[in-house]
This record gives sequence, structure tokens and C-alpha cells, in this order.
Amino acid sequence: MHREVTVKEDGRLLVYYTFAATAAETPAADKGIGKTDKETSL
Amino acid sequence: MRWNPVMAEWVVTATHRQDRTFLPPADYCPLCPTAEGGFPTEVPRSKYDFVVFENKFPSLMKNPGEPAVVGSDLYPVQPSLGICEVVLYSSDHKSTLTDMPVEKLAQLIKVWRDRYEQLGARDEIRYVFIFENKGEAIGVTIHHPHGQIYAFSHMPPRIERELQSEAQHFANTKRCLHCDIIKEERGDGRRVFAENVGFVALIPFYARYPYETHIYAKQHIPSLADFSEENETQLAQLLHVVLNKFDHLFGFSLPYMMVMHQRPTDGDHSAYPGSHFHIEFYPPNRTAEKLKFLAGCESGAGTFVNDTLPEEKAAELRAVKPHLEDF
Repeated sequence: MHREVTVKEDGRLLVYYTFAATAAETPAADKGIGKTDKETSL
Repeated sequence: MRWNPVMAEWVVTATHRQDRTFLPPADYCPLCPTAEGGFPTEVPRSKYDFVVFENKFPSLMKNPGEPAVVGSDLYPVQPSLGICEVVLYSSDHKSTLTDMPVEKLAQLIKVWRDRYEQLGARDEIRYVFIFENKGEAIGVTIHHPHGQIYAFSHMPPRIERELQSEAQHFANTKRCLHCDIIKEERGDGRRVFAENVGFVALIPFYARYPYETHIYAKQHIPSLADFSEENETQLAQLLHVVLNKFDHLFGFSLPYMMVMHQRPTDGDHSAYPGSHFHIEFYPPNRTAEKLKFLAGCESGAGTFVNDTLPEEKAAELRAVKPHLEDF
């Protein structure tokens, strides 16, 4: 499980959870939206 | 929050929630991924397995303002401290938890566990309450498949009452109340309608709603944080069976409230020897066309009147597809 923590413009937390298959498919353009303050693979 | 001295419980006032999104059309869903050139939704990314974000219209807040009124000795007030999160199950607007394959449900259980641990680790959080309201009959305001998490800084009254019963039973018997309930229910068998190696689904002896269903870990597992990988798969499998039985019951997607009860997160684990992970479902339907309302007796006296026998309703759910052996 991969957890990517980002912060929305209004300061609210937004966390993406991806599992192996989807993480591999995520387009590069989709990565880096929002401000990532922590990225963790679990 | 305002203290109710009559019932000895806190009431949350959250006036900003009056303006929250209410049944938007499917093409204007704030929980769908933001479409190219479309209006910005809560989720900028186009592909994900699960997304969790802080509720735009929270009942409890990390940094709550001062209460709108000044309290008194009789009427204390305090800031509505806590965290409210939304858990999106899918980017597909039309899917439901019931549509999820077992593998994806097992992934969702990992997400629930992670939120329980992340939120529960915060000093101010005493109880992490994971739940889902499904269907307009329950008062759902957005149809996109999602659940919610309320991380409370105070112990909610129903949870507190359950903890007191657990503690009393443990003091009297040195046993877990829920383990004894599982033993009694499995021994009797009439109210059990599905079970696998790790979990059992039943309508409890004391059910308040006709199809009220509890899913229990058979072993004494206090919380999601204590799950093994096997437990996650076992729960996912039984959850899949129960949800699909619900939808086969009347031939439509059954509304429900789904809530999780587990160990509080306010410190010493040994303080709660009787906490035992379980999920409770409260479907409001008593027949395909009729709903159970919380009317005068339930709301005013606190006594539920169940118009059915749990033994008969469990037999219905046992008979309806799917069965565990179908998998």
C-alpha cells in the first residue's frame, strides 16, 4: 500500500492510497498535484 | 459543543453544515475526479484506488473556533475539537461497496486501519469512528460511493455506554462481553447467517432494526490495528457476502448505516480489556416498501420497538444468495 499525503489549497489534508497495480498505471501528469508533505510506502 | 445536563452528553452545533452540497446531479459530483476542462472537484487526480480527505463541512475541527455562545455552570460549552474525514471508495460514481471484489475490500480494510492508526495517534483523539451512510433513506446528500471517519476528542455517549458494559462484564467474569455474545450466538445458531474462519455475521438477540447485522471477529481482536493479513482477507470475504445478501434481499441496493466499534485510542490499551472489533449495520427497511422510523418511543423514550423476530430475519438472510461456498 502506498500513501501519498498532500495538502489542498485551503489547508485540508488529501491522501491518496494506491496499491501495486494502480500505482504503476498512474500517469506522470497526475503525480505532483497539490503540495506533498510526506510520502510513505507501507 | 453544548452540554446537555439532562442526558449528560455533548451536542455538536455545526451551523456551516446547513450549506453543504445536497444531492448534486451526477455530472456535477464534487467527489468525482476533476475532468479535463471541468469544474474543480475534491479530487484533482484522475486515477486512484482510494482517497481520504478532510471534510469541507466538518462537524468537528482540528482548529475549532470558540463556541458561538458563552457557557454557564449549568450549560458548559467547548470547542468542537476533532477531525472529520471522507473516504472515497472509487472514482466510479455509480459503484457501491457491494460491487467491490474481495481483493479491493481487503485493500479498503488496510486504508481503514491506516486512518485508525494515523488519527488515533494524535493526542487529542479519544475515539476513531469509521462509518458509512448509504442511500437517500438514511439522509445521504452525495451519492458517490464514500464512507466517513469522525475522530472524536470526547467519548461519544453510545460508545461510552458500550465501554461501561464491557468493563462491568469483565469485572464480573474476567471475560470479554463480545466473546461471550459470539459464543452464545454461535451456540444457538438461529441468528447466525454467515461465517468463515475468522468472522461471523449475525442478527443479534437484541437487534433494534429488522435486518440489523453485526460482523464480529471470532477471535478477541480489539481493533483494526490488531488485524493480521489473514484477518483482512477473512473480513473482506464476509463483508462481500453480507453486502451482496443485503442487495439480493429485496432486489435493490439496500440503504444502511454501517459503523465500526473498536478500542478507543486515548492511551493505555490495557484500560480496555473488553474492546472487541465489530461492524454494525442498521438497514432502515423492514420490508421492501416500508422503513423503520425512529419515532416517539425510540426518540423520546429511547426504547426501540422491533416489529420482527431476529431469528426469522436471520433465516431470510441465510437463505438469500450469495453463500460463502459460492466463492
